[in-house]
Amino acid sequence: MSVFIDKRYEELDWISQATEPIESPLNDIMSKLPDEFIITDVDTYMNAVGDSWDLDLALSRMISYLMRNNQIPSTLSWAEKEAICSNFDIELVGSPVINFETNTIDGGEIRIFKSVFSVDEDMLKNLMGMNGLRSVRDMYSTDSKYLSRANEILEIMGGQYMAKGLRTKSPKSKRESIYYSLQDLLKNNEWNIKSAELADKIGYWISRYVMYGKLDAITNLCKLKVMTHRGLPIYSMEEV
Amino acid sequence: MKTVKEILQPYRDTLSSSRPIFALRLSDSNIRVSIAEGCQYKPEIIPGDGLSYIFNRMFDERFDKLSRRFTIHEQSDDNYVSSICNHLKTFIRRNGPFKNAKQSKIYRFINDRGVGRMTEIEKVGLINLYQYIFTQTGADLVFADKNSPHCKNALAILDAIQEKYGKG
Repeated sequence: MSVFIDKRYEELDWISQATEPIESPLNDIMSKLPDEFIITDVDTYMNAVGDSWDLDLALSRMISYLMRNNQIPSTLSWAEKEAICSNFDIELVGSPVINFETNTIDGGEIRIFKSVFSVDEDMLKNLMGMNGLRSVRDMYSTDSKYLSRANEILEIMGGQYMAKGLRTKSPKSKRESIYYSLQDLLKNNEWNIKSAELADKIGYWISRYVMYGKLDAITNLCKLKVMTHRGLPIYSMEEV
Repeated sequence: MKTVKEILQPYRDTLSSSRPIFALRLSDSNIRVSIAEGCQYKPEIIPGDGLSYIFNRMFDERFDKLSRRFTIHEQSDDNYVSSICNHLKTFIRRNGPFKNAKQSKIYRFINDRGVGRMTEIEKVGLINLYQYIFTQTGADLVFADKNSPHCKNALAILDAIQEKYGKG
Protein backbone atom coordinates (compact mmCIF):
# COMPACT_ATOMS: atom_id res chain seq x y z
CA MET A 1 0.00 0.00 0.00
CA SER A 2 1.31 3.45 -0.88
CA VAL A 3 1.01 4.86 2.70
CA PHE A 4 3.72 2.45 3.84
CA ILE A 5 6.18 3.20 1.05
CA ASP A 6 9.63 4.31 2.17
CA LYS A 7 10.32 7.01 -0.42
CA ARG A 8 13.80 7.71 0.79
CA TYR A 9 14.81 4.08 0.56
CA GLU A 10 13.45 3.88 -3.01
CA GLU A 11 15.65 6.86 -3.97
CA LEU A 12 18.86 5.30 -2.68
CA ASP A 13 21.36 3.99 -5.21
CA TRP A 14 22.07 0.27 -5.23
CA ILE A 15 25.28 0.65 -3.19
CA SER A 16 23.47 2.45 -0.40
CA GLN A 17 20.63 -0.06 -0.52
CA ALA A 18 23.20 -2.82 -0.17
CA THR A 19 25.29 -1.22 2.58
CA GLU A 20 22.39 0.45 4.44
CA PRO A 21 24.31 3.41 5.92
CA ILE A 22 22.71 5.39 8.72
CA GLU A 23 21.47 8.81 7.65
CA SER A 24 22.12 11.41 10.26
CA PRO A 25 22.10 15.23 10.43
CA LEU A 26 25.53 14.93 12.02
CA ASN A 27 27.06 13.94 8.69
CA ASP A 28 25.30 16.90 7.06
CA ILE A 29 26.95 19.13 9.66
CA MET A 30 30.31 17.48 9.03
CA SER A 31 30.01 18.23 5.30
CA LYS A 32 29.24 21.90 6.00
CA LEU A 33 32.20 22.36 8.35
CA PRO A 34 35.51 23.24 6.67
CA ASP A 35 38.10 20.49 6.24
CA GLU A 36 40.74 22.80 7.64
CA PHE A 37 40.65 26.09 9.50
CA ILE A 38 43.72 28.12 10.42
CA ILE A 39 43.77 30.80 13.12
CA THR A 40 46.33 33.50 12.40
CA ASP A 41 44.87 36.51 14.20
CA VAL A 42 44.01 37.36 17.77
CA ASP A 43 40.44 38.48 17.12
CA THR A 44 39.49 35.12 15.63
CA TYR A 45 41.08 33.33 18.58
CA MET A 46 39.19 35.49 21.07
CA ASN A 47 35.90 35.00 19.19
CA ALA A 48 36.45 31.25 19.35
CA VAL A 49 37.23 31.41 23.09
CA GLY A 50 33.97 33.32 23.55
CA ASP A 51 32.72 33.87 27.09
CA SER A 52 34.96 31.25 28.68
CA TRP A 53 36.46 32.58 31.92
CA ASP A 54 40.04 31.89 30.79
CA LEU A 55 41.99 32.01 27.53
CA ASP A 56 42.24 28.27 26.98
CA LEU A 57 40.59 27.04 23.79
CA ALA A 58 38.86 23.68 24.00
CA LEU A 59 38.20 21.81 20.78
CA SER A 60 34.46 21.82 21.52
CA ARG A 61 34.48 25.63 21.71
CA MET A 62 36.34 25.77 18.42
CA ILE A 63 33.73 23.54 16.79
CA SER A 64 30.92 25.73 18.22
CA TYR A 65 32.64 28.75 16.68
CA LEU A 66 32.96 27.04 13.28
CA MET A 67 29.28 26.07 13.41
CA ARG A 68 28.26 29.67 14.18
CA ASN A 69 30.52 30.94 11.40
CA ASN A 70 28.95 28.57 8.90
CA GLN A 71 25.37 29.35 9.98
CA ILE A 72 24.80 25.86 11.33
CA PRO A 73 22.13 25.96 14.07
CA SER A 74 23.36 24.59 17.34
CA THR A 75 20.70 22.28 18.73
CA LEU A 76 23.02 19.35 19.27
CA SER A 77 23.06 17.38 22.48
CA TRP A 78 26.31 17.03 24.39
CA ALA A 79 26.86 13.51 22.99
CA GLU A 80 26.25 14.68 19.42
CA LYS A 81 28.70 17.53 19.86
CA GLU A 82 31.27 15.07 21.20
CA ALA A 83 30.71 12.88 18.12
CA ILE A 84 31.49 15.84 15.84
CA CYS A 85 34.50 16.93 17.92
CA SER A 86 36.01 13.46 17.82
CA ASN A 87 36.44 13.89 14.05
CA PHE A 88 38.58 17.00 14.44
CA ASP A 89 42.05 17.64 15.70
CA ILE A 90 44.08 20.70 16.67
CA GLU A 91 47.70 21.25 15.69
CA LEU A 92 50.09 24.04 16.62
CA VAL A 93 52.24 24.89 13.62
CA GLY A 94 55.54 26.36 14.84
CA SER A 95 55.47 27.92 18.32
CA PRO A 96 52.61 30.40 18.22
CA VAL A 97 52.55 33.15 20.82
CA ILE A 98 49.56 35.43 21.34
CA ASN A 99 50.71 39.02 21.77
CA PHE A 100 47.94 41.31 22.99
CA GLU A 101 50.28 44.31 22.92
CA THR A 102 50.53 44.14 19.14
CA ASN A 103 47.30 42.16 18.69
CA THR A 104 49.04 39.46 16.67
CA ILE A 105 49.81 35.77 16.78
CA ASP A 106 53.54 35.43 16.25
CA GLY A 107 55.84 32.50 15.63
CA GLY A 108 53.27 30.10 14.24
CA GLU A 109 49.60 29.38 13.74
CA ILE A 110 46.78 27.22 15.04
CA ARG A 111 45.37 24.61 12.68
CA ILE A 112 42.07 22.80 13.17
CA PHE A 113 41.42 20.00 10.69
CA LYS A 114 39.20 17.02 10.08
CA SER A 115 40.93 13.79 10.94
CA VAL A 116 37.86 11.83 9.79
CA PHE A 117 35.31 13.11 7.29
CA SER A 118 32.14 11.45 8.53
CA VAL A 119 30.87 10.31 11.88
CA ASP A 120 31.60 6.69 12.67
CA GLU A 121 28.66 4.30 12.07
CA ASP A 122 28.96 2.75 15.52
CA MET A 123 28.80 6.19 17.09
CA LEU A 124 25.72 7.03 15.04
CA LYS A 125 24.06 3.78 16.15
CA ASN A 126 24.66 4.71 19.79
CA LEU A 127 23.14 8.14 19.27
CA MET A 128 20.06 6.97 17.37
CA GLY A 129 16.82 7.98 19.08
CA MET A 130 18.52 9.40 22.20
CA ASN A 131 16.86 12.80 21.88
CA GLY A 132 13.41 11.21 21.69
CA LEU A 133 14.28 8.90 24.57
CA ARG A 134 14.90 11.96 26.75
CA SER A 135 11.36 13.19 26.11
CA VAL A 136 10.04 9.81 27.32
CA ARG A 137 12.10 10.13 30.49
CA ASP A 138 10.47 13.52 31.15
CA MET A 139 6.88 12.27 30.64
CA TYR A 140 4.41 13.27 33.28
CA SER A 141 0.67 13.89 33.29
CA THR A 142 -2.23 14.05 35.71
CA ASP A 143 -4.64 13.09 32.93
CA SER A 144 -6.75 10.12 34.08
CA LYS A 145 -6.20 8.39 30.72
CA TYR A 146 -2.40 8.52 31.09
CA LEU A 147 -2.23 4.92 32.37
CA SER A 148 -4.40 3.40 29.66
CA ARG A 149 -2.49 5.26 26.91
CA ALA A 150 0.78 4.10 28.41
CA ASN A 151 -0.50 0.51 28.25
CA GLU A 152 -1.27 0.91 24.55
CA ILE A 153 2.27 2.05 23.90
CA LEU A 154 3.70 -0.88 25.85
CA GLU A 155 1.65 -3.32 23.79
CA ILE A 156 2.85 -1.75 20.54
CA MET A 157 6.48 -1.87 21.58
CA GLY A 158 6.49 -5.30 23.20
CA GLY A 159 9.72 -6.52 24.73
CA GLN A 160 10.79 -7.84 28.10
CA TYR A 161 9.41 -4.87 30.08
CA MET A 162 5.88 -5.08 28.64
CA ALA A 163 4.40 -7.55 31.13
CA LYS A 164 5.65 -5.72 34.21
CA GLY A 165 4.63 -2.37 32.73
CA LEU A 166 1.09 -3.54 32.01
CA ARG A 167 0.67 -4.92 35.54
CA THR A 168 1.69 -1.82 37.46
CA LYS A 169 -0.71 1.04 38.23
CA SER A 170 2.04 3.51 39.11
CA PRO A 171 2.55 6.26 36.47
CA LYS A 172 6.24 6.41 37.34
CA SER A 173 6.71 2.64 36.89
CA LYS A 174 4.81 2.68 33.61
CA ARG A 175 7.00 5.50 32.37
CA GLU A 176 10.11 3.53 33.36
CA SER A 177 8.85 0.43 31.55
CA ILE A 178 8.24 2.45 28.39
CA TYR A 179 11.64 4.10 28.75
CA TYR A 180 13.51 0.80 29.12
CA SER A 181 11.51 -0.83 26.32
CA LEU A 182 12.39 2.03 23.98
CA GLN A 183 15.98 1.96 25.14
CA ASP A 184 16.24 -1.76 24.30
CA LEU A 185 14.52 -1.24 20.98
CA LEU A 186 16.99 1.49 20.00
CA LYS A 187 20.05 -0.29 21.36
CA ASN A 188 19.33 -3.45 19.34
CA ASN A 189 17.75 -1.47 16.49
CA GLU A 190 14.91 -3.97 16.45
CA TRP A 191 12.89 -1.92 13.97
CA ASN A 192 15.86 -1.57 11.59
CA ILE A 193 15.59 2.20 11.40
CA LYS A 194 18.37 3.87 9.45
CA SER A 195 17.43 7.51 9.86
CA ALA A 196 18.52 9.31 13.03
CA GLU A 197 15.71 11.86 12.71
CA LEU A 198 13.07 9.15 12.38
CA ALA A 199 14.49 7.27 15.36
CA ASP A 200 14.22 10.43 17.49
CA LYS A 201 10.58 10.83 16.50
CA ILE A 202 9.60 7.53 18.14
CA GLY A 203 10.24 9.01 21.59
CA TYR A 204 8.47 12.26 20.72
CA TRP A 205 5.39 10.43 19.41
CA ILE A 206 5.23 8.26 22.52
CA SER A 207 5.44 11.21 24.89
CA ARG A 208 2.91 13.29 22.90
CA TYR A 209 0.39 10.48 22.86
CA VAL A 210 0.78 9.34 26.45
CA MET A 211 0.77 12.87 27.90
CA TYR A 212 -1.71 14.64 25.62
CA GLY A 213 -3.53 11.91 23.74
CA LYS A 214 -2.45 13.21 20.32
CA LEU A 215 -3.92 10.81 17.78
CA ASP A 216 -1.50 11.73 14.99
CA ALA A 217 1.36 10.62 17.25
CA ILE A 218 -0.06 7.14 17.89
CA THR A 219 -1.01 6.81 14.21
CA ASN A 220 2.55 7.52 13.14
CA LEU A 221 3.92 5.08 15.66
CA CYS A 222 1.59 2.33 14.47
CA LYS A 223 2.47 3.05 10.83
CA LEU A 224 6.13 2.72 11.63
CA LYS A 225 5.53 -0.56 13.45
CA VAL A 226 3.66 -1.92 10.40
CA MET A 227 6.55 -0.92 8.13
CA THR A 228 8.93 -3.06 10.17
CA HIS A 229 7.14 -6.15 8.86
CA ARG A 230 8.50 -5.47 5.36
CA GLY A 231 11.87 -6.68 6.62
CA LEU A 232 13.64 -3.78 4.95
CA PRO A 233 15.62 -0.93 6.53
CA ILE A 234 13.45 2.12 7.18
CA TYR A 235 14.73 5.50 6.06
CA SER A 236 11.56 7.56 5.95
CA MET A 237 7.85 7.45 6.50
CA GLU A 238 4.92 9.55 5.35
CA GLU A 239 3.64 11.08 8.55
CA VAL A 240 0.06 11.99 9.39
CA MET B 1 54.21 60.15 62.31
CA LYS B 2 53.40 58.60 58.97
CA THR B 3 50.01 56.98 58.48
CA VAL B 4 49.59 53.45 57.21
CA LYS B 5 48.63 54.84 53.79
CA GLU B 6 51.76 56.98 53.65
CA ILE B 7 53.93 54.00 54.58
CA LEU B 8 52.40 51.73 51.94
CA GLN B 9 51.95 54.21 49.11
CA PRO B 10 55.58 54.21 47.86
CA TYR B 11 55.32 50.46 47.39
CA ARG B 12 51.97 50.77 45.62
CA ASP B 13 53.43 53.38 43.27
CA THR B 14 56.07 50.96 42.03
CA LEU B 15 53.60 48.20 41.17
CA SER B 16 53.31 47.24 37.53
CA SER B 17 51.66 44.32 35.70
CA SER B 18 52.66 41.43 33.48
CA ARG B 19 52.91 41.82 29.73
CA PRO B 20 49.92 40.25 27.97
CA ILE B 21 51.91 37.80 25.87
CA PHE B 22 50.96 34.14 26.05
CA ALA B 23 52.58 30.95 24.84
CA LEU B 24 50.33 28.15 23.58
CA ARG B 25 50.65 24.44 24.08
CA LEU B 26 48.50 21.45 23.27
CA SER B 27 47.04 19.27 25.97
CA ASP B 28 44.54 16.50 25.11
CA SER B 29 43.45 18.23 21.89
CA ASN B 30 42.84 21.48 23.73
CA ILE B 31 44.94 24.61 23.67
CA ARG B 32 46.35 25.71 27.02
CA VAL B 33 47.64 29.22 27.46
CA SER B 34 50.33 30.44 29.84
CA ILE B 35 52.26 33.66 30.19
CA ALA B 36 55.27 33.69 27.89
CA GLU B 37 58.72 33.46 29.42
CA GLY B 38 60.02 36.79 30.62
CA CYS B 39 56.61 38.46 30.57
CA GLN B 40 55.44 37.68 34.07
CA TYR B 41 55.72 40.53 36.56
CA LYS B 42 56.27 40.16 40.29
CA PRO B 43 57.17 43.08 42.60
CA GLU B 44 60.84 43.09 43.51
CA ILE B 45 61.89 41.95 46.98
CA ILE B 46 64.40 44.39 48.42
CA PRO B 47 66.85 42.70 50.80
CA GLY B 48 66.06 43.63 54.38
CA ASP B 49 62.74 45.27 53.45
CA GLY B 50 59.80 43.32 54.91
CA LEU B 51 57.13 45.40 53.19
CA SER B 52 58.58 44.65 49.75
CA TYR B 53 58.31 40.97 50.69
CA ILE B 54 54.67 41.44 51.73
CA PHE B 55 53.86 43.23 48.48
CA ASN B 56 55.55 40.48 46.52
CA ARG B 57 53.58 37.77 48.30
CA MET B 58 50.25 39.56 48.06
CA PHE B 59 50.57 40.70 44.48
CA ASP B 60 47.59 39.61 42.41
CA GLU B 61 46.60 40.47 38.86
CA ARG B 62 43.84 39.35 36.55
CA PHE B 63 43.70 39.26 32.77
CA ASP B 64 40.81 41.37 31.52
CA LYS B 65 39.52 39.90 28.26
CA LEU B 66 37.76 43.12 27.27
CA SER B 67 40.76 45.41 27.53
CA ARG B 68 43.16 42.50 26.79
CA ARG B 69 45.47 43.71 29.53
CA PHE B 70 46.42 42.61 33.01
CA THR B 71 44.84 44.63 35.79
CA ILE B 72 46.18 44.71 39.32
CA HIS B 73 43.86 43.51 42.02
CA GLU B 74 44.00 46.42 44.47
CA GLN B 75 44.50 45.46 48.09
CA SER B 76 43.29 47.68 50.90
CA ASP B 77 45.60 48.97 53.62
CA ASP B 78 43.93 46.68 56.13
CA ASN B 79 44.66 43.65 53.94
CA TYR B 80 48.36 44.39 54.13
CA VAL B 81 48.18 44.99 57.88
CA SER B 82 46.28 41.72 58.29
CA SER B 83 49.01 39.88 56.39
CA ILE B 84 51.64 41.47 58.61
CA CYS B 85 49.70 40.32 61.69
CA ASN B 86 49.77 36.78 60.34
CA HIS B 87 53.53 37.01 59.91
CA LEU B 88 53.87 38.33 63.47
CA LYS B 89 51.95 35.31 64.74
CA THR B 90 54.43 33.15 62.83
CA PHE B 91 57.27 35.05 64.52
CA ILE B 92 55.74 34.37 67.96
CA ARG B 93 55.31 30.66 67.23
CA ARG B 94 58.86 30.27 66.00
CA ASN B 95 60.69 32.42 68.55
CA GLY B 96 58.58 32.84 71.68
CA PRO B 97 59.67 31.15 74.92
CA PHE B 98 56.26 29.50 75.26
CA LYS B 99 55.27 25.94 75.74
CA ASN B 100 52.20 26.58 73.62
CA ALA B 101 52.67 29.81 71.70
CA LYS B 102 49.07 29.92 70.51
CA GLN B 103 47.88 30.25 74.11
CA SER B 104 50.21 33.16 74.92
CA LYS B 105 48.74 36.61 75.62
CA ILE B 106 50.52 38.28 72.73
CA TYR B 107 49.49 35.61 70.20
CA ARG B 108 45.89 35.72 71.29
CA PHE B 109 45.93 39.51 71.21
CA ILE B 110 47.14 39.58 67.58
CA ASN B 111 44.79 36.76 66.63
CA ASP B 112 41.64 38.12 68.26
CA ARG B 113 42.12 41.88 67.90
CA GLY B 114 41.06 42.15 64.28
CA VAL B 115 42.53 44.79 62.01
CA GLY B 116 39.18 46.57 61.78
CA ARG B 117 39.30 47.42 65.50
CA MET B 118 42.92 48.58 65.55
CA THR B 119 43.83 52.24 65.88
CA GLU B 120 46.11 53.89 63.36
CA ILE B 121 48.93 53.93 65.92
CA GLU B 122 48.57 50.20 66.54
CA LYS B 123 48.73 49.42 62.84
CA VAL B 124 51.77 51.65 62.28
CA GLY B 125 53.42 50.09 65.32
CA LEU B 126 52.90 46.57 64.06
CA ILE B 127 54.14 47.46 60.57
CA ASN B 128 57.32 49.00 61.96
CA LEU B 129 57.82 46.08 64.31
CA TYR B 130 57.50 43.63 61.41
CA GLN B 131 60.05 45.65 59.41
CA TYR B 132 62.41 45.56 62.37
CA ILE B 133 62.11 41.79 62.80
CA PHE B 134 62.52 41.25 59.04
CA THR B 135 65.79 43.20 58.94
CA GLN B 136 67.19 40.83 61.59
CA THR B 137 65.85 37.50 60.35
CA GLY B 138 64.74 37.63 56.72
CA ALA B 139 61.55 36.08 55.36
CA ASP B 140 61.42 33.07 57.68
CA LEU B 141 61.29 35.32 60.79
CA VAL B 142 63.45 32.95 62.82
CA PHE B 143 66.16 34.28 65.10
CA ALA B 144 69.21 32.02 65.16
CA ASP B 145 69.63 32.90 68.82
CA LYS B 146 66.32 33.22 70.62
CA ASN B 147 68.04 34.90 73.52
CA SER B 148 69.46 37.63 71.33
CA PRO B 149 68.56 41.19 72.37
CA HIS B 150 66.73 41.81 69.09
CA CYS B 151 64.46 38.82 69.59
CA LYS B 152 63.73 39.81 73.17
CA ASN B 153 63.14 43.41 72.10
CA ALA B 154 60.59 42.34 69.50
CA LEU B 155 58.71 40.17 71.98
CA ALA B 156 58.80 42.95 74.59
CA ILE B 157 57.34 45.45 72.13
CA LEU B 158 54.55 43.06 71.30
CA ASP B 159 53.92 42.61 75.00
CA ALA B 160 53.72 46.37 75.50
CA ILE B 161 51.28 46.78 72.62
CA GLN B 162 49.15 44.01 74.05
CA GLU B 163 49.20 45.61 77.49
CA LYS B 164 48.06 48.95 76.10
CA TYR B 165 45.41 47.80 73.63
CA GLY B 166 44.60 44.31 74.77
CA LYS B 167 41.96 45.21 77.31
CA GLY B 168 39.78 47.00 74.72
